[in-house]
Formats: sequence, C-alpha cells, structure tokens
Amino acid sequence: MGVLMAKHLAGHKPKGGKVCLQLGNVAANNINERAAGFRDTISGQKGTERLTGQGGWTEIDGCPLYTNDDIATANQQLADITGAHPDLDAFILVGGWAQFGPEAYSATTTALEPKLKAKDLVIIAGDTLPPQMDALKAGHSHAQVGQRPFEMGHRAPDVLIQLIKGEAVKDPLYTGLDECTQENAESCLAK
Amino acid sequence: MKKLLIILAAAGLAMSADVALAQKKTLAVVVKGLDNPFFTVLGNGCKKWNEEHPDSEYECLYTGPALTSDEAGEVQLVADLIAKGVAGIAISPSNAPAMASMLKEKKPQMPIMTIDADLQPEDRGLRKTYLGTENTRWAC
Repeated sequence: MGVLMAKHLAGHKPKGGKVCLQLGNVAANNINERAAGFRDTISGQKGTERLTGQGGWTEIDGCPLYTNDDIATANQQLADITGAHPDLDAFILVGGWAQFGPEAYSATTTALEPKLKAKDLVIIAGDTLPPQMDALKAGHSHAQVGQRPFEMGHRAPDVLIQLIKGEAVKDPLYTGLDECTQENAESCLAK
Repeated sequence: MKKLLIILAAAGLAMSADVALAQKKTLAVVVKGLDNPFFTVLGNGCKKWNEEHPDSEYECLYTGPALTSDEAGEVQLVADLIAKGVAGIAISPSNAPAMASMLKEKKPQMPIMTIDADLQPEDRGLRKTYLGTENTRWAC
C-alpha cells in the first residue's frame, strides 16, 4: 500500500521535493509498514528510515506527524503544517484520519485549492470511504489508495472456522487494494 | 442429602446444556476503535456473514473500544473474550507490543488471528494468520 502511495506521488512530482507523512500511533504495525513501503519506494533504497534527499525527497522538520488515530488532531496538524510550510510539495495521509472529518478537511483544503490544482502541493491518502471519495472528486486530494475493509470483516469468520477445525490456512492472507485518481474516481472501486 | 445434591447437580447440568444449545459460538472481530468509519465498514462485512449463515453454529461479533485512542481498553477487551472462552478471535491491534504481551501471558486456547493490522514480526508466532492489506509492498 505504501508502494502505491509512492508511485502516485512520483507520477505527480517526478523531481522530488519536501514531504510530510501523517501516521497513526507509534505502535501501530500496519501504518508503520505502510510508511516504510512509501519511503523505500520513493527513495529507491530499501530500509530508508527517513527521507533526507534520497530520490530527491526530504521529510521536513516536525514530520512525521502522529495523529494517535484522532480525527480532530489530524485536521489540526494538516492545517498547521501546510500553514507553516508554504513550500511543502507533498502531504501523505498514510491513514485517512483527517478525511474522516469531512468538514474540517474541506475547510483546510479549500483554502489550499489553487496550490492543489497547480500540483504545487500534492496530497496522497489511504482509503476510499465515501467522504474520502468526495474529497478526491472535489480536487482536495490527488490519489486515494483504498483497502477493502468489508472483505476483511466478511472473510474473517470463515478463516476462524477453518482454524478451529484445524485446517491449514495460508499466512498471510492479503486483501486487495483500489487505486483511485481524479480521472478514474467514478469507476475505481471494486464492486 | 447426597441424593438432593445429585438432583441439583443434574438440574444444573441440564440448564447449562440448554443455554449452550440456544447460544451460538462466538467468532469475535476486535477492531482498534468503533469511532473510525473504516472499521464500521469492516463490521458490516461481519454482519453480512451472519445474514448469509443464519443456520451456522457460529456467529460473528464485531466489537472494539469506543475510542481508537483507548489502546489499553482494546487489550482488556481481548483479555475478557479469552476469559469468556469464545470460539475464535480476529484482532486489529492498535498497540501491537502491548497486545502481544497480553497474549503471551494469557496463552489463549482458541485460535487467534490478526486482521487489518498485524503483530510485530517477532510476535507473529502468537497468531495463526494475518488477513488484510499488504502494507509494505503490493505485487500487482
């Protein structure tokens, strides 16, 4: 998932620039793996702990930001960092938190519209829930990489029953991803 | 007196058997927090499974702490489900190391898997499998 976020960013900003990653909490394994996938791909170097110019990308001071999975905090951070760093080239919502508060997210990104339209600032975000797709269609993000939470919840009981019966189960079992851009926003989601 | 005790014990056994028959076995899906709309969609998948399997001996239970920020609450919730003896548990751990240390201590007998988020690499022996997104890489 982090790899796809990096690919979309590279498509918009091939030369690199200044970037800020927004993460969840320090102990969330899935979000940290996603950030690792993003950094490794955008830098072209496996095991990149922080971007300091690799692949043309530098993480600005004060980033990554940790939201502690709080929607209000996530939006405050987005407003603060884009306000304090007008030269920021990319903001990566490694998880979708800020967009889960559509009013606050819209207020911040509406103020940034000229920069978003000119792609001076590129926003790439995780997940494709309805308010996030609305943000994408409004031009308030450039790409959304969506997980399939319904599939996860729907398959889990069958996997647990297999485990209870002692049947062999593959490890890991991956669910798919949907890649949504402003161009394919109407048709990108798995049915 | 002895006879009476036997009768009482037999009645107790019969009652608990009735309760067991009436109740389905629980497959618990524990998410980081019920306040995140991502997990609401995950819970809808669990509910859909119940609708599709009305005659199953199992039922899917979607649960989690009210707030995603309540990492300790999530660990306690899973510990309670283990103590209750549910049939199986799928966990999206908010604080992966804290969840792992509880699992090490409780040594659950029922199958444990992770969903959406995994344990740290060194703790993966504590769960049978991971179901969710490939976060680091994705082979197209």
